[in-house]
Amino acid sequence: MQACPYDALYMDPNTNTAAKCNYCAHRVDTGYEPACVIVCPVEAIVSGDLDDPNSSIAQLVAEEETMVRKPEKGANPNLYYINGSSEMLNPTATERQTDYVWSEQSLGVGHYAKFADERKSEADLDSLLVQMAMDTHSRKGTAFDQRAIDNVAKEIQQEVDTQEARRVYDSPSKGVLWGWEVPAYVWTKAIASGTFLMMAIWQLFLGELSPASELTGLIITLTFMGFTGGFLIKDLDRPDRFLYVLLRPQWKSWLVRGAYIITIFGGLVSLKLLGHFVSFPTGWIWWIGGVFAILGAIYTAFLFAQARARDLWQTPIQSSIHMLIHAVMMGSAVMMVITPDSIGNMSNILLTGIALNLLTIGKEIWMPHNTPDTKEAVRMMTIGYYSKYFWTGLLIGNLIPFALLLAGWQMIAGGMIMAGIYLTEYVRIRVPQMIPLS
Amino acid sequence: MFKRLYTRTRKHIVTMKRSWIETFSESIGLIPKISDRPDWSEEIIMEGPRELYKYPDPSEWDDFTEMDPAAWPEKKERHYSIVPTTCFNCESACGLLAYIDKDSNEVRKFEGNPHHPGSRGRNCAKGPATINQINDTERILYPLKRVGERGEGKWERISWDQALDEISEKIAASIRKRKDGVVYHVGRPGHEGYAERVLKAWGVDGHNSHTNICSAGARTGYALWHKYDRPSPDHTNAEVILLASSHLETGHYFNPHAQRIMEGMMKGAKLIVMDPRLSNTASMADEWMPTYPGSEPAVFMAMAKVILDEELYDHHYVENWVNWDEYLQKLHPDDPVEFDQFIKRLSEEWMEYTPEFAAEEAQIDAEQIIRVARLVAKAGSKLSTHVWRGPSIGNLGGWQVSRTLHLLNVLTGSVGTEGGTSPSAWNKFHPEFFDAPPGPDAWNELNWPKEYTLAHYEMSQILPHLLKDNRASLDVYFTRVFNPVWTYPDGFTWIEMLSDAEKVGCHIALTPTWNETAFFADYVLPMGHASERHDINSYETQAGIWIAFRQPVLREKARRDGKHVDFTYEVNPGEVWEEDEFWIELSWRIDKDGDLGIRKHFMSPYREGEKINIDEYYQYIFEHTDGLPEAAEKEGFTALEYMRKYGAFMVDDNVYRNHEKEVTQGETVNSNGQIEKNGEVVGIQVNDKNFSGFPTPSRRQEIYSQTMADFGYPEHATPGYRIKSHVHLDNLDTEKNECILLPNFRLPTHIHSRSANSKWLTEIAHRNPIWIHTKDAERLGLYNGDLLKITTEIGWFVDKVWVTEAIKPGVVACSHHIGRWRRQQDEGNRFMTNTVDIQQIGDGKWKMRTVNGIKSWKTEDPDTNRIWWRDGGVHQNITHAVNPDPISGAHCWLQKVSISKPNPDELYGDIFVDTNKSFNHFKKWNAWAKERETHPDGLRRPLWMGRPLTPQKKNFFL
Repeated sequence: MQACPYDALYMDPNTNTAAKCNYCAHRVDTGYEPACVIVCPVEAIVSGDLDDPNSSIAQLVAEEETMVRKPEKGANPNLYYINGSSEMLNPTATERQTDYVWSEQSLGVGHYAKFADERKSEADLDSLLVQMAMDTHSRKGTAFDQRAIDNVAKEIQQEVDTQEARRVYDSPSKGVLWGWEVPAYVWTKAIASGTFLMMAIWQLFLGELSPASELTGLIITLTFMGFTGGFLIKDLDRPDRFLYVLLRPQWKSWLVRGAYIITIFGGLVSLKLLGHFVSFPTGWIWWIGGVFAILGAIYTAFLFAQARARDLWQTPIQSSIHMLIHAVMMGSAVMMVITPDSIGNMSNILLTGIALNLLTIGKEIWMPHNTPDTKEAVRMMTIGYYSKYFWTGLLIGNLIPFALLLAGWQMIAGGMIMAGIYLTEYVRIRVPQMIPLS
Repeated sequence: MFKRLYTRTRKHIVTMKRSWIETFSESIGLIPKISDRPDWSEEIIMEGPRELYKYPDPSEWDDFTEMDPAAWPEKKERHYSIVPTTCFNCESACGLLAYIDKDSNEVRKFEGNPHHPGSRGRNCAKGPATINQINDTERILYPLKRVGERGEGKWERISWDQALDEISEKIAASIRKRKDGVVYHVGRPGHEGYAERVLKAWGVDGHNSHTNICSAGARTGYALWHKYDRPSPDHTNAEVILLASSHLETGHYFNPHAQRIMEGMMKGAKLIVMDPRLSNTASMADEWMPTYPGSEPAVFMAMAKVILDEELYDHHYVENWVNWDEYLQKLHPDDPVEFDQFIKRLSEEWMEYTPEFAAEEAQIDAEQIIRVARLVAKAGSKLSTHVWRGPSIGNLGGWQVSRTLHLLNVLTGSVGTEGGTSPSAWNKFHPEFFDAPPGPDAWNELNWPKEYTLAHYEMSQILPHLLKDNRASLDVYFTRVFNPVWTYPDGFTWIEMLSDAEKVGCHIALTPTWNETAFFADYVLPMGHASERHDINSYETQAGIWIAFRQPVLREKARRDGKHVDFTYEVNPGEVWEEDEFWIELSWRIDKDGDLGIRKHFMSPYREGEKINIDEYYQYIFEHTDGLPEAAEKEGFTALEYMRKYGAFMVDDNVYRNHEKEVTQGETVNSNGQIEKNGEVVGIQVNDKNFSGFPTPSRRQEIYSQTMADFGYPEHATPGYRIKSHVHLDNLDTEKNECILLPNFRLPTHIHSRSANSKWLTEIAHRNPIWIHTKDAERLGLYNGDLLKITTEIGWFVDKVWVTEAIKPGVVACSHHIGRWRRQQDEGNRFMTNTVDIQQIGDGKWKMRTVNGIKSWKTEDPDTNRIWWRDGGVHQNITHAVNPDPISGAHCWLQKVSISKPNPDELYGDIFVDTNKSFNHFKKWNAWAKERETHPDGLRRPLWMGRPLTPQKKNFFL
């Protein structure tokens, strides 16, 4: 869903699984043209074999001036438009509105229509762009989210030159597919992996963990891993199919790779925990567990990068560094609690972490890669509706803790850092989803 | 794209490669086993590139295999019996193929019928959406009879026997008293004369239609030229296509015409569109002429003047096929009867129609008018033009639009030519019935009030006003898939009429689904949708004649399965009947004892002395269709079997220049070339050849209409722009924010009130905001989505605005396809109806308020619970005053309105109407007709002009 730059996938409300137009594969494979081709009164859709130079479609593509949607995504689409225009093909070239001339989509459509009962149904309900940010809360239409959606919509509209073409019909946006569960999962995962990583680093290089501290740390790690798994499953429309991720692996997907990483990581941590009750050598687990902690902390960056539709996420290396920094910072904060001996070291790590974190964020804001969607996302984060979350995150997660750390208020600083990281992830995950794809 | 191409033989089956993890997990039952499914992508072997099929071959229709799309990628075969029928949504009657699942015996989908010559396998959204209509969980399944007061909303289920007995008794009682007490009021007939034949059999002058709110204006203008009252443009072969309509997106024969407009354009034709609204069609045009409403005849006259002045007209055609001699003799009796003199006089007559004058009227550029005129002239005989509703039904004098548009065809010699514009009747099939009763010996004064001598046709829009005027009353009133309370102007007056048992003795609604009119019926009788009924259809979609067969597809399926079906209701859901069989059964019961002489018109032509059945009715027509029995025989079919199998037949695929058909039986030839036989003009001699000509008194195209002169309008004897619209700027006070409401444009995905129970169509369009130009919105301080109050001459309504530059300033527009309602006690059409509260707050004062918009609800169809739209739009027509054109009788849809911001207590969807005001408004317009009422020789209307259900000749005289 997040990978398709054309917004072509949707949730089939009958099965709660992802679906898309498959060009009537069931017809084409038995030798019949797609239904949309044969029904069109003016034969506006031409289908055929592009590899056959004699086919009418190949000749049209060769002879006519054609356009494709979002060529910059490198998806090499085989859908060509003759007499196309930017207003028709580029979703940011025209304004998005609440209601269109013949339809009113303000309450959410398609997959989300199953929540119709939960929403108000007055015909004169004030218009909301709920479909633009349809997470769990806004499905129910809480005032808070409605306000957010309205404001974002206005901001996007201000960016558009309204003297130009006007959007009259629209395909319904699917809204924010990754709601609060996804930043929550990234956050708990960072705590779990960071905690283990910092315990390993402490144990291996800097000091020694008391058995009690180690036990506490391992329990914290496993608890947060549990939350991580819980959020992951909760985010699925078909939680019953969670096992498919592991048991019908599609190895190219970072979702699968990640699931195996965190499963192995969880297994290693459990083994280490077992070592507290059954005697067997567990020292090696710090090494191998540390590696999986790092992998667990950063793989999501690659998963996000596979979401090709979202430009802001297309920096896996930078993002993985960022996520690793987050994990290290949160792990350090936890370490300060479970091993008071480490406070001095951890405080220094946190100071360094904040500096690196700011550097990474600065790079993202001031040197974004050059696509309109990225720029729009950065604008929305820094001066747009989400700026309050973003700057709050920066302030309470970085600047204030920095001062507090220097002043020796490490515990409070640690707590604030953890809160700040959640806000940063929340903004980074939500904002790109607010940009229309189709 | 298709690297792999298809073979339908399964060469070898391999299974997809799976990871051991998956195989192991399946083996221990952790996840369902699917890895043993064959990998079809491997199995499909490249045969080399080839084109894909479009449609199943007819040889496969009895058992067509298609993969289930929902099961994909699993290849689950579905076996279909494919049965053709025709669409019942708009009038085009495009071909459909019903895919009947052989396992469940249910229709699973509708696709296009490639054998239908009009639609050629293609459909607009409304065709495939038929599946929604037949599966509508809220459709009416059983006959219902009113309980309590009319309109109270209480019903009891009755048997068909009871319904037929009670209704037939009422009809018989009426017929014994009079021949104008029973009226059948139809929306779109689509049955090629079936009901007219029934009414003739009953001997009643009881046909009423929707024509006067639709095409009456255009019909009158065309009829004055050549009796034929509609155009049939040959867009495919045209060089210039001139539309006063939006036929690429909506309009009559939208799908068939859009196909052919595009074909013409792909071959290089230029498209000219006249419309104050930037329709989708206008946006595709080479020339968009956003004329001020009502000014169109001025523009066409100016174009005619340019063509005349620049001598670009077809000299040969005009000289031979136009009654210019009569023009000179009647208007300039002292002139020599010479063609050059005619041209000279015409130039004088048209002096005033300069491009500058027209440009001023139309608020467009004079240069554009000249440019387009030259373009039109250059097209010569390849000029296809069209107007059906649009400006011709919008304006007082709207009939001038088609009359002046057709003038361009006459001047360019493009009447009936290849690429030109033919009369409709040339391209329409006329069935031969097994029994043809004589016309009624009566004249219905309610349908044909005598002051409307030239009306085309029944004055249906003022029926309630005429009843209120105490002109007559109705004993039995059928509404058949017809919803005037909602579709017609001034719906509250219709509610008053239908609620009054003194005026309407019994109201029977024949309809597949609930509508606002059926709420006020005594009986509601469920009738079948497209795939549940018989009809034959034929329309002038192209330069040819075709006939199509609408048939109950499950009946045909049963026949294929060897099952015997006597009546269509046996295969229909619930107790849904089809009208054809209803009329036979009803007629039989009306004439219980045979003394009314009705039964004899319903006797089988094949079984002596027995009642006809519906198969025999169509068998007879098809056996008497030119070329059909022969075509059928080639395939080893009877004519009826052929139509059941293919659903359509091309009777003649090349129809041009019918006026040049030679006449041999001529007797005397007059000096002006008219051929007379038994005192009647039957043809015309041109260049020493005897031709049939046109069915006018002169047998030519009539640039001079003696009929107009005789019937009291001598100033309109020739085409011109002599009536300014009722919404002409002279009649508007712009200081008071008066402007035009353009209420009569269609949406591509709806069709008046017929499509409300289709969830797919409703999802696409369910609101109808007011289009208002940016400048007008700015002046009133309105932003997109703000409320606007539109005050008509009889009431007001409140709607939201759609601020746009796609509408001419000074005009606000609102599509009338949306704004359906039901009261709290009513049922049906929940996809599209607001729930409203209607209150009568004093004598004739009515108020409607939206209680709630559209809501989701739970049924066995999960989609009803997924309805996401809440806005059901606003019902505007109910606030419109009736504007009957004194000449054409058309309801002039454009409304003179004033626009303002509503008061805080006036909410979205609020409606107010004063029916006393609307009655006075009717009286004002009615007086215009009465003032000019003229009956030459005591004639009610010209004998030569068309009239549905033509009565016996003596009834034409007062």
